[in-house]
Amino acid sequence: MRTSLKSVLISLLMLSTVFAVDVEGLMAQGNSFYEKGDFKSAISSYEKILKTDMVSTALHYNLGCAYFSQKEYGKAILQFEKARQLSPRDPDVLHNLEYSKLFLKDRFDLPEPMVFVAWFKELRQSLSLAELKFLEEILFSLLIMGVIIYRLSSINSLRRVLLPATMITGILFLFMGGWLIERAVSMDEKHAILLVDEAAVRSAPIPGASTLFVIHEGTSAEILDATESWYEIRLEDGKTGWIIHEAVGLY
Amino acid sequence: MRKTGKVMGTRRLFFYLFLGMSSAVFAQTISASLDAKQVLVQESFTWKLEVEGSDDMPSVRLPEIDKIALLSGPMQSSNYTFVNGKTSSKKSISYTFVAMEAGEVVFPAVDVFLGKKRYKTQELKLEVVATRGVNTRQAPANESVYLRAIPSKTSVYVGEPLTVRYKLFTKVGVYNYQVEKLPDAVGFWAEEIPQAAQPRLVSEVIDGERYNTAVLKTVLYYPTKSGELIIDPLNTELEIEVKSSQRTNRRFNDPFFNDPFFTGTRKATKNFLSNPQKISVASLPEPRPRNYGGAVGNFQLRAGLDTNAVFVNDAVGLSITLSGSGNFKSLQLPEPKLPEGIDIFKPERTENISIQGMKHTGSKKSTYLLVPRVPGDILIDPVEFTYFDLKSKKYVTRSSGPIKMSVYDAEGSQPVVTSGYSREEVELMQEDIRYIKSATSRFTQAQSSPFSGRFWFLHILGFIALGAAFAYEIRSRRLQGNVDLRRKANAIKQARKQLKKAQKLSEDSEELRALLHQCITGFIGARLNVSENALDTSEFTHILSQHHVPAEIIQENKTFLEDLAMDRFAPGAVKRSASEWISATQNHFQQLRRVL
Repeated sequence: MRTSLKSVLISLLMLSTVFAVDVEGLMAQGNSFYEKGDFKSAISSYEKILKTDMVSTALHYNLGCAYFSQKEYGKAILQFEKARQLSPRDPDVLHNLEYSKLFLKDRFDLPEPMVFVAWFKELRQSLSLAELKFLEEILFSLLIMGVIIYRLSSINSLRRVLLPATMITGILFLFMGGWLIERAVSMDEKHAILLVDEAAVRSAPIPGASTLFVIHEGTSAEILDATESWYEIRLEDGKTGWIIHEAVGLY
Repeated sequence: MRKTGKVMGTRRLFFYLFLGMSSAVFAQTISASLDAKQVLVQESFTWKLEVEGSDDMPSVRLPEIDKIALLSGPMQSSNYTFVNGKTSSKKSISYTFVAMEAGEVVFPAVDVFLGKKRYKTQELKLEVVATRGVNTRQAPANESVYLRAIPSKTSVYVGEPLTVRYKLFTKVGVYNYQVEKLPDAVGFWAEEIPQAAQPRLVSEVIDGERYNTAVLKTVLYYPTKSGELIIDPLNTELEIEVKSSQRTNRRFNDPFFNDPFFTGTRKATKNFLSNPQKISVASLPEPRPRNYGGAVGNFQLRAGLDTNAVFVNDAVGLSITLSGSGNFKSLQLPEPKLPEGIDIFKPERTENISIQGMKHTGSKKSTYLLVPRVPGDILIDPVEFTYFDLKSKKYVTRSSGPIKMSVYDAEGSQPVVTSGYSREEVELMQEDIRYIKSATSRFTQAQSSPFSGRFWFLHILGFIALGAAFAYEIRSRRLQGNVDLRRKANAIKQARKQLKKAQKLSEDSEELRALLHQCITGFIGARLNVSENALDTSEFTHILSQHHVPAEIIQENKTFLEDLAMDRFAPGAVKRSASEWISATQNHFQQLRRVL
């Protein structure tokens, strides 16, 4: 009995080691194909890693680069967006994402948002999920300590300093907590990117519904609703309509 | 003969010279018009001559014209306007005639004299119809109001525009001319030609009867497939005038009393349906050119670069413009085919298309940004566009010709900002995609939730700490409110404090014994909630025994307090040093603490 348990544990350990080597090996293989200019093979290696449910910024980034070299801009943008979710301030990821968007056919001329709103949005986007979680935990701890010391301390000068400091910490905690929950909820893929050359956006989730407008590869949209085979999407300029599942990739 | 010919030639020369001078020096316009194109026999109409930009009243002599007779005239009128500091004048002469017999009446071109100059008007035609029997358009029998769809043509090619005018014929008053919905036309791409909300009423004679006509809608149709296609009837509700059922003057059978003023009318909403239109659409001739994309009409193509000499990585604009007339809305501009070494970015598209002369006219333009990546002379293949020309009934291909570009090698060139792109975007274009990351990266499980065990542990711990702190705070408040309870809680602390103070005192200090006495009695008093100051040693013994303190401790306490009192008031009676007293007190305090 004891021997069999031991052998199971050993085999599990070995399996995990083999698994880790496999992912790293595939990544190195993909990079090697990319360096030789064999982008199709590189894509196939990277995609194999994705199937194991393991992710990293470099994996999405490199896969995006490979798709870009194949002029598949929609898929490239999807991968760069995924890389940005993991590392929101990585300069290479941001550069390649913006650069790929230059090749899109659909352009939206939107009014410039207010400085404060733009700054706020940028701040929110610049934090990864792990960073948000870490900040939330730090702020929560500081808030609890601040409240306890403020309530129990009899030193007036300390209390005077603690009151505003704890209030500011509380406000920051609310923001971070809110963003964390929002990000955690949106983890089940709330954005879509068109992966085919062009697709009709229809007025209803029915094949024969009238075409409202046509979008082109790489255009991204927010997902509002979903049925078994259709997504209701909203473009950056506010237009909404239904599109079939097969035409888009989610992030 | 020779002389005559010479005189005629000179005269003609002077005449042309005079005409040329007059038209060049004076901006005067002369026009003649008739107020109707069709009249009934015995009906009157007006011929009018208008002159703009002249201070002189024109003089004209009309010749004798068959089938009509002059009724009144000439009537003269002048009209001056003063706009933006400029004066303009309009003068007119009009004659009213009456038609005498049916047939075509031709008003010949007539000479008009304006001061000393002579002009000629254009020829005008008028149709005079008899009151019955002339069938100009099929009118439904006994209908005072009806709707007709009138197509500009019934046989077209795929992509060739045709217009359908929806015309209302009415003998009664119509109060509104609003048509809400266009008819269905499967196989057509339709666009309504905008017109004034209130259509212009024109008088026409149909089957010898006078109708007021109004074009309610004009729709431009582009057939998108071949075959016999049907444009459905226009269906609309109109508010018209109908005669009231209660006629007050039935006995007067006279047209005068049949006027609505006497008969009495009311408004009624009625539904009207036009006739459907069958259009035969021919498919475009075969074989079609390879690059033909369905354009029909007449187009011109232009393609070119902003500049033909650029540096490597500089952005340069390539614009492709298609102008002309035809089925603009459904056609795509040709895309350029670029050699290797040039990046091309999404184009900025503009279009300026309007409906003129019952067809779409204007231009479509795509501006691409090209960024050459390698130096050298580059030849871009000609941009070509093929359309079907309706006049020649042939396919025509327009080509831009090859486009040349010289790309020079240079460092640090400044980007050129082209319309449609921001400076940041153009700067970005001059860069390239960044290389892959080859360093080993940390893989994580996809879709791992941020709410891990550590997260929940930390948050639960935080709330527990907060709860404990509040509980402690509540207890402290309660203690502050109850003196006895506080005294009891503070007894140990107080006794330790006194012991510590005693250790600091000198060997022969009188205060030492008093402090140690106070330490023990104070502790007993606080723990048992009695006032220790009012008690002597025997009373302490009594109270301790009441609280079930073991007898040996009570005895020890009695001895200790008596010895301490003796040493205090009769120094030397008990031979103990200060440090011995302190340790003895400490021991005794520990014993009492265990039982109290």
